[in-house]
Amino acid sequence: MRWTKTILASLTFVFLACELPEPEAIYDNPLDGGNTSSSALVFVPEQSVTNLGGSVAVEVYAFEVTGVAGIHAQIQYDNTKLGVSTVSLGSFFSDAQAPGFVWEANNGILDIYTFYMGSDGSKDGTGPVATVVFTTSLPGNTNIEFTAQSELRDSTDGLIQLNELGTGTVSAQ
Amino acid sequence: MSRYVVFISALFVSLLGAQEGPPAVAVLDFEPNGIPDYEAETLTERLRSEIANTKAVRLTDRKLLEKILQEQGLQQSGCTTDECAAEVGQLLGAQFMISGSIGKLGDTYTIDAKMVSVTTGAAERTKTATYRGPIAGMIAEMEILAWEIVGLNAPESLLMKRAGGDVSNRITVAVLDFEPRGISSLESQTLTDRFSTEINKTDRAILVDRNAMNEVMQEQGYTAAECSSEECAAEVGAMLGVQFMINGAIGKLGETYTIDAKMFNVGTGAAEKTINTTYEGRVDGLITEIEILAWEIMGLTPPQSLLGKRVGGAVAASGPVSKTRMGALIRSMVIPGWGQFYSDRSLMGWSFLGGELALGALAYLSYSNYQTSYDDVTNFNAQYRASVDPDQIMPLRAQSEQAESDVTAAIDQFNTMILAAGGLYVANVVHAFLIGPKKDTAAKKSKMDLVYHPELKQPQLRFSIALD
Repeated sequence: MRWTKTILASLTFVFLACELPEPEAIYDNPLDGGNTSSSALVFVPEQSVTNLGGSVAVEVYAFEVTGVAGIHAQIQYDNTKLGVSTVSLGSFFSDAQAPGFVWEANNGILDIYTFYMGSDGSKDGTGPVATVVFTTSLPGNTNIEFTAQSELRDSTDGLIQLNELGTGTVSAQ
Repeated sequence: MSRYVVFISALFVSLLGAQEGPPAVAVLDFEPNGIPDYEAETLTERLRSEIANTKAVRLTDRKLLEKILQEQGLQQSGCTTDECAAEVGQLLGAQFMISGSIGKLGDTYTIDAKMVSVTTGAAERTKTATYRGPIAGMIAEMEILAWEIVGLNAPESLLMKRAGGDVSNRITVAVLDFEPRGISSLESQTLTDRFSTEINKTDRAILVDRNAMNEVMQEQGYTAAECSSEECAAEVGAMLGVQFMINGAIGKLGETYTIDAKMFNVGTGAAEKTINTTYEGRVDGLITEIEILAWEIMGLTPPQSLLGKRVGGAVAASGPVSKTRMGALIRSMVIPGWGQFYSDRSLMGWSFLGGELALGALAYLSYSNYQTSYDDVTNFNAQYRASVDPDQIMPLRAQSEQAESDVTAAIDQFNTMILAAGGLYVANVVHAFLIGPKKDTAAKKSKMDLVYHPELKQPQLRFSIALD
C-alpha cells in the first residue's frame, strides 16, 4: 500500500507538471495601425528606461498622414525630472533640399517646427519628424505628451486634422 | 578318554575364570545372512583377534570352544540362541559369550553383535553396524565392533581405517509407495520414486532396494497397494532388517495437494518423525515439494538449489498461487501492461503498453510543435515591438499571432494526448486489478507426462486429454 501511495503521488506530480505555459505576446507598437488611428503624432518608443542622470532618445513620428507640408509638435513634460538635451531633425522631410527646422524648450514645453520651404511640397505616410534626447534628473516615471497646440499643415497652410496624439513615458531608475 | 580330557580342560578353564582379572569371553562364529560361510568365519576371526587386543577381556581359545561344541553335538552355526550360548559358556568357564550375525542387503552389509552373560543368560550389550562398500571394508568394521562390544571406544587409528565413508550415522530405511488419494497411483509411485532418490541424496540413509522390498512383500502375500498400515509396514521392515520404514499419503483437495509422511522405528513401532506439507498448483510442482520433504524427514535442511526451485523456479512459475491482484496492480502502475503480462494476459498487456507508447509519442510530437511555435511567438513579437518600418510591422504581428495560435493548438493537442494517456493508464491499472491473474485451466495443463509404471518396472510416456 505504501508503494501504491508513492506511485500515485509521483504520477499526480507528473500530470500537474505537464501544464504548458502560453507565451505573452504584446502588440503595443505605436506604429501599428491596429493601435493608432491614421493622421497622428506618436512617440517611438512609447516607454523608455534609463539610469538616473542618463539620457534617452525618443523619436517623434508622423503616422499615416496625407499632404503634410509643415508640422508643429508641442510636447509637455515634467521639467523637474527631465531636461531636453538636444533635438535633431528626422527623415520625414528628407526628400526636401533643406526643410525648415526649429525647436525651443521652455518651462516643460518643447516646441518643434519642421516644414517644407516654399509652397509646392507635401508628404504622405509615416516617418520620423524629429529625435528628442531627454536627460533625467530625478528618479521615477515621467509622462511626455503632445499638447493640443500640435498641428499639421498642408502646402496651402491649411490645417490637417490630427486624429490622435500619442503619449510616452521616460523612467529613471 | 576324549570326554575325560574335555572335562578336565573345562574344569581347568573354570578355575582360571574364577581367578581375579579380566572376564573370560568366548566368541561364536557369526551367523552369515546373504554372505558365504567362510566370509563370516574370516570376519569373526578378525573380531576375536581384535577383542584380544582390547585387553579388556580374556579370550577363550577357539579350538577349545569347537571341541566343547562337538562334544555337545553342535556346530557353531547351530548355536544361535542365547540359551545355547550360555550353556556353552558355562562349559568353557567364560563369563560372557559373544554371538551375532552378518547380513547383506544389496551392496550394504549389516552386523548385529550381542554379548550374553553366561550366569544370567541376559544380553549384556548389543551393537549394530551398517556398512556399504566392498566386503574388504568389513574387516575394519569388525575390528571397531570388537572394541565397542566390550564397552570401549575404538582407537582413532582404527576409525581412520574405516573404508567407504562414515556409515555409523546412517540408518537403514525402506520407503513404501505413498498412498494416492485423489491422484493416480502412477503419479503417486512416480513421486515416491523421486522421494526415494532424494532420500539417497541426503547421504544419511541406506535405502532398501525397491525390488527387494517388493519381493519381501510378495512373500508375505502383500502387494504394495495393500501394505499401507503401520502393522504391515513394521512387519515388512522387520523382514527387510531395516531400522526405519517410511510410509505416507498424497492427497488432492480441489487445487490443493497434501503430502503426509511418517517415519517410524521398526523395532519399537514408534513414530520417529511425522511431517506434512500443503501445495497449491500444478501436479508437476509436487516433485519439488516431495524432494524437499525427503530432506526434512531426515532432519536435514534442504539444499538452497531445491528451495530456489520452489520460490522462483519451476514450482512458482507453474503455480498461479504466487500471483496476486495486488501484484498485478502495482506492476501495472509502474509500467502500463506489466500487470497484464504478469497475469498471463499478454494481448491486453501489449495493447496497454502499445497504446501508452503511441499516445506518449503523439504527446511528444505536440510538445515539439509547441516549443517551435513558442519560439516563433517570442521571436516575431520581439521583432514587431522593435520595428519602426510600417511595411514590416503588420506582417510581423500577423506572424506572431499565427505562432500564438499554433502554440494554443499544440497545447490543446498535448493536453488531449496526456489526458488520453492518463485515461488509458487508469484503465490499465483498473483492468489489471479487476481481472487479476489468469487461473490455470485444464487446457493449459501438460498433455505429456513421464511416469513410472511399477508393474512393468519401466518409465512410461503418458498422453492425456483434458475433458473439462
